[in-house]
Amino acid sequence: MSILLFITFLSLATASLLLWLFVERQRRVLLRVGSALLYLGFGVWTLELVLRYISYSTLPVYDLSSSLFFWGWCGLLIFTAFNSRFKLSVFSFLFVGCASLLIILSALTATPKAPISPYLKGLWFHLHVVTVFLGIGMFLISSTAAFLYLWVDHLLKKKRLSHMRFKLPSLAIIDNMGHYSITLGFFFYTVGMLTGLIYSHASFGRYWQWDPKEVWSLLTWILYAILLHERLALGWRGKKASVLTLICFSALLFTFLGIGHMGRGYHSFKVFTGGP
Amino acid sequence: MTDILLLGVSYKTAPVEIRERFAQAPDYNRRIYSSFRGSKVIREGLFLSTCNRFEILTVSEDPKGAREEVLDLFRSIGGIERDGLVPLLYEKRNKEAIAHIFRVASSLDSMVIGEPQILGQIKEAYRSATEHKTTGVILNRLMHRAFHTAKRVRTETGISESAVSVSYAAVELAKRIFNELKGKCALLVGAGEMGELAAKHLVKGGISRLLVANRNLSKAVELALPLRAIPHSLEELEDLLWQADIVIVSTGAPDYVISYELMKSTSKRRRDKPIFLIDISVPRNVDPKVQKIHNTYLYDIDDLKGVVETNLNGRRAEARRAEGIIEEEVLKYIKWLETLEVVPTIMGLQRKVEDIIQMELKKSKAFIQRLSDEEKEQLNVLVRSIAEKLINDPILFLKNKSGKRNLQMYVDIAQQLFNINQNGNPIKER
Repeated sequence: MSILLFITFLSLATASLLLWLFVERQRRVLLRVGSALLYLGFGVWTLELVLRYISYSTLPVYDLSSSLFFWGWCGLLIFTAFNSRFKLSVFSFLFVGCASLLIILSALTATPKAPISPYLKGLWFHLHVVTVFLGIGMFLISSTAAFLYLWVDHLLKKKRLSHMRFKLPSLAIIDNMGHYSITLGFFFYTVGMLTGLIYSHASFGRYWQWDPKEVWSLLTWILYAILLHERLALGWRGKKASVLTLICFSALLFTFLGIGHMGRGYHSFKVFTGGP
Repeated sequence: MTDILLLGVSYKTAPVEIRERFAQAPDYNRRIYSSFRGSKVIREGLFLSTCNRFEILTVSEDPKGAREEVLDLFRSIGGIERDGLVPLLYEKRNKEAIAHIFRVASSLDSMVIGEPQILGQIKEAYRSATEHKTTGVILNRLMHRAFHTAKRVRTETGISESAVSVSYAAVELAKRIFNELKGKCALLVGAGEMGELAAKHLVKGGISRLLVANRNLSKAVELALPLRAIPHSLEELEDLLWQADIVIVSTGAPDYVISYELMKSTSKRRRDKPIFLIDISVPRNVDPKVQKIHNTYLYDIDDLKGVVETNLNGRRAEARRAEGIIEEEVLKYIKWLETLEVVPTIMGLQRKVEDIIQMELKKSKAFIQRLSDEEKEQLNVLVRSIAEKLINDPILFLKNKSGKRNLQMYVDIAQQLFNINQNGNPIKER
């Protein structure tokens, strides 16, 4: 783990802890220090990303570790934008904790630097990766919201009300947040798939190759399309929508991490780093 | 030595029969203020009268004398003999009195901890005392610090955040689900008193539409009118449930008015829109099983009482935190009080210097008159700056000694060195 990555992890993990304490104790100073650490962590993370970009002279997204790294960064980028709108301390604690977990996972799966495939360059590669990751960054937020929704719903139903004074956000706000993030996430994910087609055509001369990752991301896209349809057209909300969000997210996790790791197809992480 | 004395009766020490005697005594306002003004002992005075407490706060140089006078006031206003009175009273002096006033203003001493009315009542008491000119430097500062402390306690702790009544708890819970009541529709089923109260709270909380349903339509109309609600008959219940976000059920019916099946079919029609059911009827009128339906939240009277109980516990925990703030503010105030003791000496010193300057300028009048205006001004500045520089260090020294144990000795020495008396007046030269 590089020193910058370590600082990022440390400040985000501490930020998450302080934000949790703020929820429980309601002392302003905890929120202030927690937010400051959150921005510090994000800043250092960005710096590390820029350094990696310069070192690889392209977007450093080529294996599991680097994907987790960039995913977490995108998520946190969107989150900081979201946070100024929703200002939910409970959510911050969950999400920032999630981001610091991604940092740790990224560090644990890190491999020695290897030459990366020449395909991972150029405008279409950048567009494809950035839009896909913004999309799945949004999905990360929506599933955190879904998790929070189920938790608050559980507390309200079971009448575990010692938590009342913890300033839990209202169900309406959490649901609203889930709605926003899924709509936007779906938009980015769709654009990501389209740019992927163009990128594939530009690099390999074919739009679609029935590569496992392509198929699975199409399936994931369909799942999210169903979720969005239920929400928009059928007015699904609350518990059912949250459960479906979590199901969609597990499909996404498999597509994104599982398939890339199984080592078949041109999307495989092994191919990217020129491994055996 | 200035002495702050507080004597009072409150709900903690005296039953309501005693407290109401003070609150209902005729013309007690005027009697207390004129007694303050007529007193040779009491320098400053203020009193607070609410339904839960009656307290008199005085500042004097003679604690014993002040206590006698205040006890007399209590006796004459309450109409209670001295022997009967003393066990009902609490008596606090100086630090304790200051802390008590701060705690009362911050609503830590209230029957319902954190209730907001007390601060307004104290402000009113203070305003009335200033109108009768019975407060001075010490009480003015004390009361302002009390308001400041109360504000700190309110903003820095969660003491008055949570709901402590059943109907307010219902509103709070609704906000946990819907975030705000604006744009929401509430339905009141039945004519129970508690239900009506909860509905009133919802209206006050900003609910957009209120429907009232009753078995007897004319009763519904009667109930709806003052609440500006729309009356319906109970037969329309299914339709009404379809529209409502919050339902308060408070009927005298012996069985379930809202059954599981009814709620299940409504829920489908509502397309899972969240619904919050508050059942304050005994026996219960909503089948507890509806809780199993998605996005349906049911709270009965015991659940709401549970919420109130937890909130009260929360307030007690916050009150413990507030005590820290009180302690901090009391120390600050006492520090200020202590600097007050050196103030007369410092002022005496400054007055003496001013007198000397005036006297010496008078002596050289003949010379000064020959100077131009500009030269006169320069001379004036010169004289003053020499004099001020000379007494600057002694003043700083005295200020630094305030609050120290041997302060009185230094004050004495300073007074002797500069030949000024106890009250800071220069001693006439013999």
